Amino acid sequence: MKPVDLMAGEGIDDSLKELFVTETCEQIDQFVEILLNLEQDPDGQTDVIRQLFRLAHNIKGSSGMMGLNELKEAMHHTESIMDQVRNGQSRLDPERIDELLQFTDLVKGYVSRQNWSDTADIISWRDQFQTEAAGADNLSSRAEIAEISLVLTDQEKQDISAWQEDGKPVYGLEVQFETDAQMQGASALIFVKFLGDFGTVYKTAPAVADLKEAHFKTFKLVLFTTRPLSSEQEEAITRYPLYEATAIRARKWAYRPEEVQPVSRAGLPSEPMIRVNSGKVDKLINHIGELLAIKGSLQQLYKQGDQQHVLDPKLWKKLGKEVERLEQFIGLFQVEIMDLRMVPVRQIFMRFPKIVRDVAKRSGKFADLHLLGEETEVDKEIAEKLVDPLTHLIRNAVDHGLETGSERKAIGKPETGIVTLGASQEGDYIVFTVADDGKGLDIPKIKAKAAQAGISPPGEALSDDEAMKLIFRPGFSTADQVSEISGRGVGLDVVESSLKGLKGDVEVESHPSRGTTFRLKVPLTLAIIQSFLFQIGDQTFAVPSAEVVENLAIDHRGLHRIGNKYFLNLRQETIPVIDLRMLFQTDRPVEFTETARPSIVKELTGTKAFAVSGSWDKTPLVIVKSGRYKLGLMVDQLIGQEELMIKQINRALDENPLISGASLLGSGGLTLILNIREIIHSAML
Amino acid sequence: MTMEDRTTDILNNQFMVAANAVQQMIFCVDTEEFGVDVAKVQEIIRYQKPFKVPNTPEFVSGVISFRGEVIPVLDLRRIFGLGSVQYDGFTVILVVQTGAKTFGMIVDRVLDIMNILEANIQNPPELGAKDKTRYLRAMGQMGQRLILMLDLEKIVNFREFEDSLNQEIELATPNLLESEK
Repeated sequence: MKPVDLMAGEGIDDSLKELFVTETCEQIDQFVEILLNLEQDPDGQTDVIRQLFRLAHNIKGSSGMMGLNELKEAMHHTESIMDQVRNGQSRLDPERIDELLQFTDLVKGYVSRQNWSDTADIISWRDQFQTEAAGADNLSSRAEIAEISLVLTDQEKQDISAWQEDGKPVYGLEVQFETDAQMQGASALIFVKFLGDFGTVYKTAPAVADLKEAHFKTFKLVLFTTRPLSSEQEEAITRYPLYEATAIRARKWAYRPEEVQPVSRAGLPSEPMIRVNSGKVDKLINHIGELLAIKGSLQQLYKQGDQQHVLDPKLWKKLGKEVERLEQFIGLFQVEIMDLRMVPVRQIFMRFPKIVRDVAKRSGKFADLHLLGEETEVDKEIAEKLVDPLTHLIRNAVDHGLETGSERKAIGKPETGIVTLGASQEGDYIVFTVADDGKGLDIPKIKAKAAQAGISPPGEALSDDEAMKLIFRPGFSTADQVSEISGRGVGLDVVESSLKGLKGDVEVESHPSRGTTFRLKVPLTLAIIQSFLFQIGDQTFAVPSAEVVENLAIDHRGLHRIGNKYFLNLRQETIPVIDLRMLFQTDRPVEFTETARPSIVKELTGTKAFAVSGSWDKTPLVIVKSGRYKLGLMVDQLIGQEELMIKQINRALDENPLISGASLLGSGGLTLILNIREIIHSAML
Repeated sequence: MTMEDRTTDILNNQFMVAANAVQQMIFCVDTEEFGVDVAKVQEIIRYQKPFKVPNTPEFVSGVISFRGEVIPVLDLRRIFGLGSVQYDGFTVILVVQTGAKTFGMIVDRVLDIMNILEANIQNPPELGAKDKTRYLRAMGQMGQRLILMLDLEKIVNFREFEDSLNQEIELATPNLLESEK
């Protein structure tokens, strides 16, 4: 493959570019994760350094392919540094890790911005690393030496499992040679001979016959023994003074045939993965929606036909069975396909250890991030949209929630504060928690502030819960107000509104000096929602069931008029009411009557002031809610619930704020799904 | 001359004509004959009542489901300010695609597919920006017939449409959602 010049934009395929960006970002994320672990556990260096080396090597390769020479060179020097560490010539001390973290930050930014010619920073890092790596880099031949992996044939795998099934152990050994080793072939032969004292050398890579000619720096072999090696024996092997070798490692292979891949990359699932454009998955999901609709109409046809006996009853019964099978199969299919959209939350959690570390460093605190439920799966779109709110809450937790080390010590807490980020499934929802063990919200101050700002009526005390809810109030907590006192709440209204956008919710719980916990609740998926259907004229509309409070029948005597708005008094609660039939029904003849036409509807419909309801006697009313706001919607007829697959209306129609999407009904018809949030918002104006 | 030779000649002849011509699907709305580029036509479907959508311009009849997608349907009579008629058995929805946008157009009836020679195509008359002729790409002459060739790109540009309609009809009530922005 010929390298392409990305900077010149020369015929580079967009999908290739996209792949490069996502892959590189993923690799950088892995790189950062390993570095952060190293920071915690500096002794683990030798085990993970190979992974770091490989990641740097991969990025070097792909950036070279993309024609990003500066990045390629910078990664090359990074690789050299890793190599030095691997050879024991240097160590990754905290400063070095810090430096690498800064560098990886920069690389990620550079790659995701895709402004390829903006290489000034990359160049400065390149030069710095080059100087640092100068010691190791004169051994540039290293790159040309093949890395040899041990590949086993099926026959060999069978032999190995047979040996293990007899209860006898199998060991995988690996010898690292110096990068400029000259005599590794001879050393390897000596080693093989030496191992004869312990068992049978089953296979080597490179093969024994090739040892004399081959250039390699890693020598791998499989050793069969009749009984497990004692720790002295293991030590004798790993400490064997082999000429030009830097390290010898031995590992007992567990009895699991699929594990017999000694070169599996740590931490990656063993099943092969394929990368699929998410647009393709969405298309599949779209087709499922169609399939659901077809199934629905088949079922209906079947039911109708049965009543009229249009077919031979036997055949009809058979047909019924097939329809049933189809239903089961489509159900299965639906679950599987929806599963494709699900990703483990690990994907978004990965970035947070670094954020916690950075914020803690900047604010002079000690903080650890504990992650829980990383395997929990959530819809990809939701995962992406949760990154910002979670980042916000986690930053807040460290910056404002936790006390400083000395403060903590003074009250008998461990110096290092703990922020816990967790995810778990609760029914049809995924709940994310961001908890800190810091000082908790300053509730008395919030109450004082509320009274001062006239939010709480004078003389009337807010409950603690009510006070805590105030932190989500827009504008309540600007920097010079509450945050200065309690240190909380900057932009928490943004967190709340993004959760609302995901049809989720956020709650807060706090205890003085024990910490604060935020609970973010989001639906499992956005693509299919349980919906409540009703009829206006000859059209069917839907609202998400989660947003429906209740439905009841009213007549016009039940309504009160305040100014030009209409309200319903329901169990001491005053709920505004609008007549959706005027908004959505264009066919009905217009008959204006003062009592029957709340003018709010006219405002809402804007340019189209159509129609008015015929009668108000026993009108079905659907009460919906968004946040703490409720609204009554007058409709023609209630239908019931149905699971709907939301479809976006083709882009040829401008985005309509009142409509969140369309869906096909089981009966084959169309329905529009109303955006309750927007409808309430417009009605409140 | 063999049979094959003659066939090739005829085919080539047709090809030459087609290469210098624009293939148009001709349909009529009211008494006018319109044309759209055949390549942009996805399908002709029988008229079905679209699902009405609130807060859309007058000429949007609603949305329909088409090949798993939900697409808007426009009424060409409304766009060109022609009086409405009872839809009949000839009324069809012409599903067209331009760019990533797919939409349907209600037309009175589809007549023909024709090649209009480049030589017979002229620019539309310039009657000012507000005039409906700005939704025309060109005018084609076919003997005595005058074909109004539509510019789908412009038609699909709803906002522009709405604005121009607003100016012309001078709707008294400002759109609430619009003014909110």
